[in-house]
Amino acid sequence: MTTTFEDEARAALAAKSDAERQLAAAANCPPWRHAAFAAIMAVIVTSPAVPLPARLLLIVGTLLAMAVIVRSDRKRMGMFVNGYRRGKTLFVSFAMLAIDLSLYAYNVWTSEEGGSTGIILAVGALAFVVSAIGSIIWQRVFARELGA
Amino acid sequence: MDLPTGFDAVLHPPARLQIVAILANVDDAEFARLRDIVKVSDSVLSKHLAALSDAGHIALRKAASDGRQRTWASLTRSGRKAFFAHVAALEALVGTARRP
Repeated sequence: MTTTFEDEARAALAAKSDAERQLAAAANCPPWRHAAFAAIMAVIVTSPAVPLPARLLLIVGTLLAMAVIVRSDRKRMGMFVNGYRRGKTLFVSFAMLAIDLSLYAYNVWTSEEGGSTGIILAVGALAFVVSAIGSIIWQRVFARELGA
Repeated sequence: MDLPTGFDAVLHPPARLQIVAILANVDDAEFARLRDIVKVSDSVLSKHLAALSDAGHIALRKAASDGRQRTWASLTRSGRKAFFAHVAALEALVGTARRP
């Protein structure tokens, strides 16, 4: 029996698809991971509720929290999947970023206009919900893109 | 038979194509994760990683974790380009085969 280049190409593509499916399964995030990301985004969006020096501390805190999440992902999964990777997930990432930035801008405006802290916190809670749902959608798009 | 443009002999072994396909979707991956997905022994994976690294397709780095040295691999820019060109070449080969 002879093996043609076409057979080898087909086998190689099948092996590639199989590896991508396994990658998608291995990269599945537990609920706490979606919540952790959403909490970071919510803290950023809510930060205009506090005075500038404390706001900067909050932002530094969220950057440190992101570093902890990246480290945790690497330890838990043996890899890190960047949210801004190329592919269909990029649309989800930018949509989420646009919504969270809009909510942040709204909170900055509310804070400068002397609006109530309650509104700023409510918008922060909305950012948590949007980011958590966005993170779950991102995961599903990633899995679908890789054929899982 | 002429091979299509973009065909890369270094990427042709299925295990190497699998390694690069994984790395094309992550920032980096640890040796054990790659071994579990590709389902090869440590020594075979080491040889594939060395071949891909020698070709400039991947970058390897060592990092200490839990008191042990671990190897992490990531795709280089040229490796990414070669991967997509090679996949396109494979798809062209399969497409040619499907033609009556």
